[in-house]
Amino acid sequence: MTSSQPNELPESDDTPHFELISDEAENAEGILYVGIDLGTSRTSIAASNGVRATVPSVVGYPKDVVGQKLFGRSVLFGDEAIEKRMSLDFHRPLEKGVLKGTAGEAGNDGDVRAARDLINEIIRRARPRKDEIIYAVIGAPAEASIKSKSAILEVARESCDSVMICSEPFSVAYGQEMLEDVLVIDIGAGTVDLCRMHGTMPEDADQITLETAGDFVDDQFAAAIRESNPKAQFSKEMLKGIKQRFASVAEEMEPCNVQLPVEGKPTELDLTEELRGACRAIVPPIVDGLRKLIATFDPEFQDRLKDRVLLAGGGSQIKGLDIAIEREMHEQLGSGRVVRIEEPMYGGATGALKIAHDMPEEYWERLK
Amino acid sequence: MASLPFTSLSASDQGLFTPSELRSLMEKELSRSRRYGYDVVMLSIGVDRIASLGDLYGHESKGLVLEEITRLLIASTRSCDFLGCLMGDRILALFPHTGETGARAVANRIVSAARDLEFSAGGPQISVTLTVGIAAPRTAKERELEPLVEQATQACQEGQAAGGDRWQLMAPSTNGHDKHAPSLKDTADMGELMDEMLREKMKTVFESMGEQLPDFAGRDSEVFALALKKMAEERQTQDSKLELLERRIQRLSDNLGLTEEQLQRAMEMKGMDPGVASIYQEVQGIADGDSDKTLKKDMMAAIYEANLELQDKAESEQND
Ligand SMILES: Nc1ncnc2c1ncn2[C@@H]1O[C@H](COP(=O)(O)OP(=O)(O)OP(=O)(O)O)[C@@H](O)[C@H]1O
Ligand SMILES: [Mg+2]
Repeated sequence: MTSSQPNELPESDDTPHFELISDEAENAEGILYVGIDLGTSRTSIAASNGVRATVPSVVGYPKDVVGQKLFGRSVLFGDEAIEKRMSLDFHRPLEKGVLKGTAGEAGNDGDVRAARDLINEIIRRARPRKDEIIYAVIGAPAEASIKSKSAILEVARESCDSVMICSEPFSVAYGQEMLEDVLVIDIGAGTVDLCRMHGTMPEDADQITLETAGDFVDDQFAAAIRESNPKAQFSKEMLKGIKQRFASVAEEMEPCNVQLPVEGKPTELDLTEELRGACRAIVPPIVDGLRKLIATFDPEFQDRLKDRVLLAGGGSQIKGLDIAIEREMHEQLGSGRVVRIEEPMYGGATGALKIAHDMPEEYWERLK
Repeated sequence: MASLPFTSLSASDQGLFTPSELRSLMEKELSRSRRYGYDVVMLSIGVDRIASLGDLYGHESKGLVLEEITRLLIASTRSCDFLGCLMGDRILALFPHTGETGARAVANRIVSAARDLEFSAGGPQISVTLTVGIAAPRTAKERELEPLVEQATQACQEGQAAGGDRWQLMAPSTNGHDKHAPSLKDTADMGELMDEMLREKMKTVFESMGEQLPDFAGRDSEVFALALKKMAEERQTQDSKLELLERRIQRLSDNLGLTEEQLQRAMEMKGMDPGVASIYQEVQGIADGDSDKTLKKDMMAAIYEANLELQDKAESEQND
């Protein structure tokens, strides 16, 4: 018998890796599932091949042949389009989360075309293989009219083999595996969508749309700066950038010291109070909206609903917002628990992807 | 051996099982191993000279030592699943998904770890040595509780009779002739360490060396022992690696079995399953319960209906 102490073995990797196998299985079927979040300010995609992409929801077309030659393309998207907007025919096709026009209406053709190109582009960024069939679920704003929903369907069908629309807050909640008794707060650029989910598709009575979203914060911020520093000069885009860097509702926040031109001269300004005030302004209307949705819910489940509030959307990245909403809920409603979803920018897209996955094949077939 | 006198091993089962439950758990594990064809080994762990231990240090010292050994057993198996119980003064442990190689490695660890243990039962320091008897069945037929217990116990007794502080293998398929008492002088070691060819080769080398170097004559056994020792050491590291690999292979094939089962089910309900991805989710244990599944199915149907309506509306509008 040898007496040497045996070596410690390396721990075996306990999680079996099946991704590879399941990927192959999917590819064998040749289907790429995608989830798309079609937002006013951003369009994001999550695909079953693991790719995720996001692009500002703007589309630009060179105004003339010279421009086309200059850019080497007939259409530009996202940041690139924003940057060159002066020489472009510029579109935000999803203003207020809804396709601005429907085909055929005079003056709106440009937006419809832009929406079509945007959807086509975001799918292209998911890098489908040439032979892959694409099944897409698109999250549309909860309050989108039937008309705009069918407009979205129509333009999307050109880039996908089969496509379905579902309500955006539903896909957010579905992505978090919270199927029943959930309140979703989706803070976008143009709108805050509040949605009560209770196991079925949300109806009109389950939804409230507020205008106190990201753009509203920008406007409040601008107004506050005009008040405190009447001579400061800034653009909307500049303020949005500052907000996205510093936004917070917390008592203890990082000081928002930035340089803005004052009468043409770059000047250091402390905008902490102005920004905090602007961010805080969205809390009361949100909680007021929540109160309405809770009060009209089955009394037996009201407490459960208060305890299951999901915070999503780009605007939810304001620091301390979850705690501030929770505190206001405690004051106004007696209790509340708010969970900020992990990736607010992709919550809608990954949820939509999950729905696409879970959708039985025959349904996809029938909608082709 | 009509009914084995099991006592539950408190440190390993946290008092969760009664002796009879343990016994039936072992039997279940064995029947599973017969059905799915995975390896199991039975270890019987005895404290050498435990009777005199009681005489020397009092009866409680026995309990204390056994408790400590149990803890050591758990620690040195790195919580890999085993079923353990006390049978008389010996600990019985059944290791699923473990073959002969793995058993040797485990036994080795236990025996060496015990040498470093020290107890004091209120009085003087006590140190003990262990002997581990191993029963490693090679065919499914041999994976029966009572014969395995008997073989492991017998191996342990033989090891103790030979001086203890060792492990001893009892391989049932060869009627106990293939027992393994790892001592360098024991030429039975040879069969395990190298194949016949190697053995012949070494013999010829030694013979020819004896002819060439007169000094070498007579020292061949010394060299031989040295070589054996080196090889035994080498084998031990390899054994450890093998044990790990064995466990991983077992794990993979278990998962594969599960996957195949799921695929089979999916094929049977053709068209009812939402896709291959969900099968893998189930295999990985991240699938939802049934209630969620029904709910989700209803939700998918509702989304589909709504979209169908949208499509119809859009089409009828176009036709207007
Ligand atoms: N780090 C940040 N802190 C605060 N606000 C942010 C941050 N990042 C982005 N935002 C804001 O989030 C908003 C955009 O959110 P999101 O991308 O969810 O909107 P959207 O889905 O396109 O809009 P909508 O839901 O109204 O259609 C913008 O107002 C943007 O300024
Ligand atoms: Mg949005």
